[in-house]
Parts: sequence; structure tokens; C-alpha cells
Amino acid sequence: MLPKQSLPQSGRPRPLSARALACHIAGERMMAAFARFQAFAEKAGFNPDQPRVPAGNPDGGQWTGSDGSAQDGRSAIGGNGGPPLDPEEPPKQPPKEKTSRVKAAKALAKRIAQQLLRRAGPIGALITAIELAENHSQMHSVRSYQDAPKTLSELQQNAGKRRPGYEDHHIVEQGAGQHEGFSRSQIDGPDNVVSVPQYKHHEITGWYNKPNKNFGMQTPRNYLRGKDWSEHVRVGHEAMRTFKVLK
Amino acid sequence: MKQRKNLKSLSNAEIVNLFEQLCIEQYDAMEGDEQARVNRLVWRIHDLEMELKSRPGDQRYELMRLFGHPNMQVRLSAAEANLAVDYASARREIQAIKDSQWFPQAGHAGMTLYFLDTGESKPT
Repeated sequence: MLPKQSLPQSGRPRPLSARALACHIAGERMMAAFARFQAFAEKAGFNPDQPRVPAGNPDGGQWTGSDGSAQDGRSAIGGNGGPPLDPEEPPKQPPKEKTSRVKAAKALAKRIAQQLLRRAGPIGALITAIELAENHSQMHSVRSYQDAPKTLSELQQNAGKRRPGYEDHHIVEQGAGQHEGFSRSQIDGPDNVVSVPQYKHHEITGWYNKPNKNFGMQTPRNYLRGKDWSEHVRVGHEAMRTFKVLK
Repeated sequence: MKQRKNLKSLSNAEIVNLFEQLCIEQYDAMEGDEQARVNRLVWRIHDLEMELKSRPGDQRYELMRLFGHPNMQVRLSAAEANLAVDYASARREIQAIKDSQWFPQAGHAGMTLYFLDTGESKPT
């Protein structure tokens, strides 16, 4: 949504300049291109979980069938479904590869967010699109990371829908809630579960789990132990606001 | 504990360098969602800060040279370490990190400001 005016540090509103407006439009166009790319990939039957030939192989990165056979049949004799010509390579530590893929995708998601913030021009958008194509397995998550903050009811409405790129987040954390003796129906209740962008979810959870100077090096999760429901909710809402998930 | 003992032999400059290096490692661990590694690094960084604090006159101000560092975690850790030393400067740095919207550090910075403002956090 286009802001009608920008807020300078003095807090006094001033109208958007023509340059800022042009930049904003460029940003919107980039996001539209992003959405078109995603729709195109979905239409083409793209499945990020489909197995691929491990890196290091001549066919590295290409899609394979669910049984591990190459889709274009190049590695099978005459392409007739016979045995592969070359012995199978051992798997190359997929979890590690996945970690670095996710890491790269997160870095990209942040770069896109920064570009949108700085209203990067068309060249920036082009480079981003190329990088995005390289990280297509994480495309939904990279895209959802760019979401503007939403109202609480919008976040609640989408809970449980298992949308790609989003995860359900418990405002009062599941484990913490059980420690306090909160009921399961409260923890899993519609007021407490929201759908948030996957990488934002990781960021918020990371904050809850990290020792924090503000609480004498306790984690926020431990700091909240023994506090009542409303305290958990207050901190949970503030975390979602601060991490730009909640309006 | 072992590290703590060895820290006594380090100069301020060496501690600042090690602080910077560990914060960069922490940034990397956070990017990979390696929570256990993050937490280990947080404690090692905290030990460095405590060592500077224990030196005559509280030497944590040495970390202020890391303000404006290109790595956002280095900036944030250095600023948080200085809240009790130079509140205005440290707070300004934390506010700048929040405003950068470079997450997750911007989120951590925002939460620190929130708890300072509610009075739940008191810099020590």
C-alpha cells in the first residue's frame, strides 16, 4: 500500500517527493514481478521438495524422479528406463546442504527487504530476480519475508492453513505455557495461534531462546516463567510488533 | 571458566578484537538457526564484557569503537554492553540498529528498547 506521506525524524509529515513516489512504484513492480515468477513456477508444477541430483555430479542440481532416476533419462541406457550407466554417487550430506541453502535464502530475503526499504531501482530488482531463481526451493519463504505487518485478526485467520512459506506461531509459547499450567485449549485457542512468515517465526523464536542481558542473562522464555497469561501475551505481541509481523 | 581465567592476560585491544570476532561468529550462527552455538557464543561474549567491566574504571567503553561496525551483531552487542557506561550513546546506537530494519538484530534492538522503556530492564 502506498503511503500518502513520509514521516521525517522530526515527526512532522511531509508529502512524498516525485522521486520517492517513482522509487515506491519501482518497489511495487518488483514485488509484482516476484509474484508472477512464483505463480509461473507453481503453474509449471514446481515442487521444491522434489529430489535433485547431488552437487558435484555432471547433472548436479537437475530434478530426478522420486525413485532417484533422472527425469530426462540421460543417465539411463538409451533412455529406456534401464540401469544407470554410472554407479550411484553416495549422498552428499543433504542436511548440511539444506542448512546452507536456507542460510543463503535467508540472506537473500533480507537483501530484498533492504532493497525495498531503500527503494532499489530496476538493476537491483533484476539481480534479485536472478538470485531468487537460484534459491527457488525457498521461494515461498523468501517471498513471505517481505510481507508488511498485519493486524492480529489477519494473522489469526490464516492459522492452521499450512500455507507454503508460513508457519503457525503460538503467541504464548507452547512449552512455556505448559510450565505455567495454562490449559491446552488456551494454548491452541484461536486467539493464541497466528500464521507468520517462516523466517520471521525463526527470528522471534531465536529471540525467546537467547540469553538476554535485559533479564540478567536469562532467556526471555525463562524470564516469563511464573508470570501470568496476560504478561506472556504482552511480551508476545510486542515481539511480533518489533519483528514487523504485527501492525 | 577456563576462558575467563585466560582473559586476565589479554590486553583491552585483544579483548575488543576477540569480542568482534565472536560477535561475527554469532551473527553467522543466528543466520543458520544454530541456537546452541548462538548461546555458547553469547556467554563467551558476555565473559569478555565482564572482564572489561572488572578492570579499573570499567573499561567497557573500549567497545564503543565498534559502534557503526559493518556487522550488525557486533554493533548490537557493543551497544548493549555500554548501556551502563554511556547510556545516551549506547541507546542511540541501539535505536539506529532498530531503525535499520536489519533483522533479527533490529528485532533484538527493538525489544531491548522496549524493556528499557518499561523499566523492566536496568543496565548494569
